[in-house]
Amino acid sequence: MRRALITTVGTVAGLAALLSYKSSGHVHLQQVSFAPVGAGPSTSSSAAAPTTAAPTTAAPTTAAPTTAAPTTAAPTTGSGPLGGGTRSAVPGSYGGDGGRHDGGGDGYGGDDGAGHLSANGAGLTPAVSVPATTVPATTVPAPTAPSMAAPSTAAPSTTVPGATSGAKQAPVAQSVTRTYTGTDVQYYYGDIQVAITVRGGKVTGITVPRNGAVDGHSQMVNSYAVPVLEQEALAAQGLNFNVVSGATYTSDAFAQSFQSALKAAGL
Amino acid sequence: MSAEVAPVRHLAHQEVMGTVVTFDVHTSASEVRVREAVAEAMGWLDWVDDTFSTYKPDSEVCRFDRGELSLDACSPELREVLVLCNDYGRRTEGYFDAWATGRFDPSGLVKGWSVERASALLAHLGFPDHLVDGGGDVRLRGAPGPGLSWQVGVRHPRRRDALVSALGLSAGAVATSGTYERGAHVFDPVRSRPATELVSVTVVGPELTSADAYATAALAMGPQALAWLDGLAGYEAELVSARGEGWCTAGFDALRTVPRALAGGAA
Repeated sequence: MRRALITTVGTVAGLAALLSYKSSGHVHLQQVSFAPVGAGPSTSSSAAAPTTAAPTTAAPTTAAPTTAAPTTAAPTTGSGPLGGGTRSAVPGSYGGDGGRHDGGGDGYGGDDGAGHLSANGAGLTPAVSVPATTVPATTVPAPTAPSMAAPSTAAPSTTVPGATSGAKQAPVAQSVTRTYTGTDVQYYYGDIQVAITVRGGKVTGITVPRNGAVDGHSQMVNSYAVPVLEQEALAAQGLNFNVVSGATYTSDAFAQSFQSALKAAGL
Repeated sequence: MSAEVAPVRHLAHQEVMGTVVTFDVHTSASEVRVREAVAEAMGWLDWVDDTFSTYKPDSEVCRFDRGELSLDACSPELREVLVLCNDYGRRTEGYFDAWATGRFDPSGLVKGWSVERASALLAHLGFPDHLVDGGGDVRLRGAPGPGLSWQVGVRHPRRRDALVSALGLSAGAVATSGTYERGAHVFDPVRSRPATELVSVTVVGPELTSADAYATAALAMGPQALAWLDGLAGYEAELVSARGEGWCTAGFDALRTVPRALAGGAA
């Protein structure tokens, strides 16, 4: 993925766009091996959330439910084993899409102030600041997420989203190597800061002096293109579901579906 | 569990609260006993519907909202729901807001809360192995059979016949809020605008009242909800954006029975 990333970066402007994109993502500037997630506890045991206290008080009767609310135990105090104990045990699990080099499915733009390439004078660098206008902060490109309109083939495209830049030339002297440090950008999972070295208008190096995302809980967040699991295929593999969770459907829809099922069944 | 009689699955559906509630009870108890217990749970939900429906002008919640009923004159359940609405408003940083419409409308909480209590009631009546599915928001207890865990699918937001995740759980709750079933009418009460970034949020937690409220709040909150949910002990979550991106907590990955890496070409 890094290779793909660097090929995108021909100019500072290109990098600016890249940065503005990258700062909204998080996978690509890290060396992330594809660690199979789920190194945590076994599926079933990890699921064992603390069931709420058994209803010690009388359960509501049909006519006049009692006051007792046996089940609304304060949820934040539960500290159930739902992942709680595993949070630090799944390192580098960013982007289960580790094998890909595109980054199509991860990241989302929208962090304010992303991608401001502040040439803040590392080393000998004078204030050859890249004009703010060079930085297409608004071009945080939609990271070519697989359109859900075509979900069955939702493999993300392999274009590198940062490639939309390049339109502008940054005013960089021809043969001077300079380091540019990006602003420390907050994004949903932490913050990140990228530094580049530039020579002759070309990026010759990228470092990540700060990646707050590797600290704390934000490490535990995974990003990916949503899969499409065909229920039929799952059933064929012997996976049957007791229940499907989804946005609340209306009873009208249920009734309709029920009716059509009846019809299909010839009943 | 008695060795003489193998556990049998009993299914029952109830149209209530504008949706369908499904009871799935695994027990070796007699059918008559199951029916009695389920009937009691259904009676509770009917009572809740009568009491809390904002579509029934004579419901207690409407009379309270119009000022025709003082708080003291309200049922203990309504007072409890009021308290819960306040609690969850605070816990969700204002994103859960029962007063967002200018009226008191606790519908976003009542379903999860009442299904939670229906499940507690069944357990209390001697049926520890069951699930109650409130139109896509699910409370699970015990197991669907010896040594088995509950297999829970999470519906794909754009595909009725597909899932985004397959989970194995032994107890707890799964709530999904989405814009796809009842239309994109989710309102962000904090920023006073429609919430459009996410199409689906699934929260797994120890019990349904909180899981449902958190899923509802997260949908309004947008992608930043992931970090917030990740910080809640005992809860795991998966978010799907309108662009088909998925994000989840690592603990959520640990619950999967079908790893994302294996989920077809779309992972």
